Amino acid sequence: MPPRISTTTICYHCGSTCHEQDITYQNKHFCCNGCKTVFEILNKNQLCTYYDLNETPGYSPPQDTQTERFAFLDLPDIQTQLLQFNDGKIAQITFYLPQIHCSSCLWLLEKLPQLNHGVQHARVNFERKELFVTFDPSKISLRQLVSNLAQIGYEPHLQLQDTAEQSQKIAAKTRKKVLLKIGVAGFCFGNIMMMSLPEYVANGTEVEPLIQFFLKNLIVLLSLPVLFYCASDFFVSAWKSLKYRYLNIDAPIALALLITFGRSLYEIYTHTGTGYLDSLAGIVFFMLIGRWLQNQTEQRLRFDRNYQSFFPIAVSVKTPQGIVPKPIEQISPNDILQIHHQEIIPVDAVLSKGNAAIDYSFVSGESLPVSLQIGEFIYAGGKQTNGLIEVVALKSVAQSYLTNIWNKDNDNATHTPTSNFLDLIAKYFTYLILAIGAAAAIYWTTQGQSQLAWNALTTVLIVACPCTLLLAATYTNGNIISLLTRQQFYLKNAQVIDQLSRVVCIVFDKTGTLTQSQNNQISYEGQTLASEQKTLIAAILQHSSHPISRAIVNYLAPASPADLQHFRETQGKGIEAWVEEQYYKMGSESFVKNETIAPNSLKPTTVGSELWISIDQQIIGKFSVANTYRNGIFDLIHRLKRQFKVSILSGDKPTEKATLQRHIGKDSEMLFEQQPDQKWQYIQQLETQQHQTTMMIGDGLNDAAALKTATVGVAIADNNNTFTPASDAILAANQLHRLDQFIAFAQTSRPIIYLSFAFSFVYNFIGLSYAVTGTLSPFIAAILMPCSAISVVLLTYSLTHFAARKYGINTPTTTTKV
Amino acid sequence: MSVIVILLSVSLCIAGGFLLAFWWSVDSGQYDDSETPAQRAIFDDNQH
Repeated sequence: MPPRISTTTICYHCGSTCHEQDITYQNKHFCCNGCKTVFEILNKNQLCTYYDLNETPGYSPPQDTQTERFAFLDLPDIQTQLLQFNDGKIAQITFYLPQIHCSSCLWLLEKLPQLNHGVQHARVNFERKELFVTFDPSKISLRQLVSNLAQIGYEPHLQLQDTAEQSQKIAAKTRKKVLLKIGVAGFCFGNIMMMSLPEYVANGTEVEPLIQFFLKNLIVLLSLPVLFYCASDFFVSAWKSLKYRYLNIDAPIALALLITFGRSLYEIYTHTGTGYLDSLAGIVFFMLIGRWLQNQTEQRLRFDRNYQSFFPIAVSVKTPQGIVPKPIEQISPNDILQIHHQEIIPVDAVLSKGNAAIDYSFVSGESLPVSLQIGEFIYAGGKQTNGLIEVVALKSVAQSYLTNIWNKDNDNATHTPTSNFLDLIAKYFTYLILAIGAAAAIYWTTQGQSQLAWNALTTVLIVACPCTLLLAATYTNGNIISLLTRQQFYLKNAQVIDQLSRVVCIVFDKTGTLTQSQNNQISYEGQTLASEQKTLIAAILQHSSHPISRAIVNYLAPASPADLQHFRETQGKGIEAWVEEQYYKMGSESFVKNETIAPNSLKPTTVGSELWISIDQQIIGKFSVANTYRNGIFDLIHRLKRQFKVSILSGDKPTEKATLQRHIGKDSEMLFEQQPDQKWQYIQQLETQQHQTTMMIGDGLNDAAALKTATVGVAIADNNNTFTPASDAILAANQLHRLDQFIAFAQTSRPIIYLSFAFSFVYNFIGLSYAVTGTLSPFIAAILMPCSAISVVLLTYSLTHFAARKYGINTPTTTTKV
Repeated sequence: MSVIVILLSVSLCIAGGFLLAFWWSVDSGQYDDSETPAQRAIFDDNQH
């Protein structure tokens, strides 16, 4: 195999360009050690045909594959949760591997027994992206197995709740049941058709009584399993809805089936006709097939909210190499996390250092902070309110849990403008259908056409389908959310899409949103600081989560947090602390200066932000932080200004006003020296007095109140723990410059929903108008109804994806190769 | 003519046999995954 060398070197394993590293091994180029390792493993085991199946087929494994990460798999408790079977010699487990994407994955994974002698058997289910492994736990531990999979680039998605597995088992069972029901219905349908044939062709001539008797009873006999077994779901669901004094879509179908059955029995045994049992079996057969197809389609286009990528949020983790930000999905048990003032603890943990005052208001609604001793347990979702603490994580982060608390206070308020309309449809559609059916039947009876009357009644009941109306919004929003998620724009729920499309005003916070907290140019003026003093200042500033404090801490090199005797952060102003009998005060000029006695010669900065420092009421110096604006941010604001009213709020002094006005123009409102509650009031005034739907984009922690007040509060996530339930969306900082695309895409939600509505109205109108004439065959009705449901699924899917392509947001950014 | 009755019963029994076969195939999980076997068939095993 010749090595692939072009102007840019391409990794032999995964096909990415080799940017930072270019590792050569056996004349082949690799972009990282991980890819090289996979190649080595494959090569050693003579499995290089992998590369013949597809060119550069591999996923490059995450760089930090440490078996330490899977240490928790050695715990017996967790093993029992994960393993499906284990008797010490044989263990079985099913992994969910979202990375499975092509036939080479399938091939490689099924060769697992050759890579690993402890593995006895490996089987892939390609559609569900699952790998079923049988292994010998005495030869290979679960932890080794998982690390091994991670090593070859297929890190399993371990779900520790057995509920997920149970629900999958139930799903598999119902799938089998549906297939069986279709089979039985088909069998009965075919045979009833065959036996009805003499009646159809007899055409006046008398069929022999014995045969007639025999056929009649056989048909009735065959129709029993159709009604009582195959169609049982319709009856059960109709009955359940009746019990709650409400009519669902299955109710008219169940009614139609009962009417057809009753009337057929009456005709057959009173010798007044031949009955419609063949139609009955046909209706059930086609309906079941339709529902099955609908299910299949939905599964294919599943909006995998469950397996979505994680929020782009990072937490500071203490490692031997120092304090590093780590994405929350990579937090593993026993990691030491640093939680700053106002930050949310993302995972169940134990307090190991600092004064914890945990506010559980997001979890329990009780906002009185709980003081905890070292060693005490902290639940995920609590908010630290007293400086910096260190905690030891006990689990991995459960995003589903975080999403739940995020959505908690929203349960009662999920009213979109369409939802009232939908409620109305859901309530009265069935009654309307019953009324139309009855009217048609009465009309045809008065015309003396009892045959047509019965036909009209049954077909009206069957052909009408409100699901298309009811599901259009759900499907559309589901698709939009999952597409935006892939762009690292996380919406709290479907309601946010609608709110996004109504936004008129966009308010930006400056520091940390327009500007970058990294790569700041920092300078210091004032008394020279001794190195212990520097460490001490860094240690105090570490307690704050404000972007400027963070920037300065980075500049001074982070230290371990100091033991503060007293700490207080005044939001938007600064912090005070007592350390070693000294009173430190750091923050804005006015905050620091108002108590100081000694005059000072320092002049305020003319550009950027600043942080003044006083010790024992003596100003000793100040840091100046020049603002670095994010890439493309001014272009974004220019684009946004064509459509929206843009304003900027900043807690800093107006030193940057000139720069901003030069870049953005003078027509945008810019307010400086805004305290958090002033920001909040500004938004409040926009929303309630000017009735303008406002979107606030800011720091999740320092602007929480403003984010909550705004109709759409977007928290910017930039390598720090800015998760706050007060926001409606989280946007990764590096995607901020595409905000206008995201808004434009969200705005397509309504047209798509209305289009789907129109489609299903037209369908129902045409279907019903045929049905009332009594000329529509019940078979066709039974085929049409599920078809319309399927077509709405496909319609919303293709329309949202078409819109996504139009606005350039169909390129996945997070789910591609690492 | 009563032979038709016998014929019908016999045909029904045969059809019922197929229904049972179908039942068994669903129950033993042959419809659980309809994609993987098709892909698996195209690999030639040069290991043995």
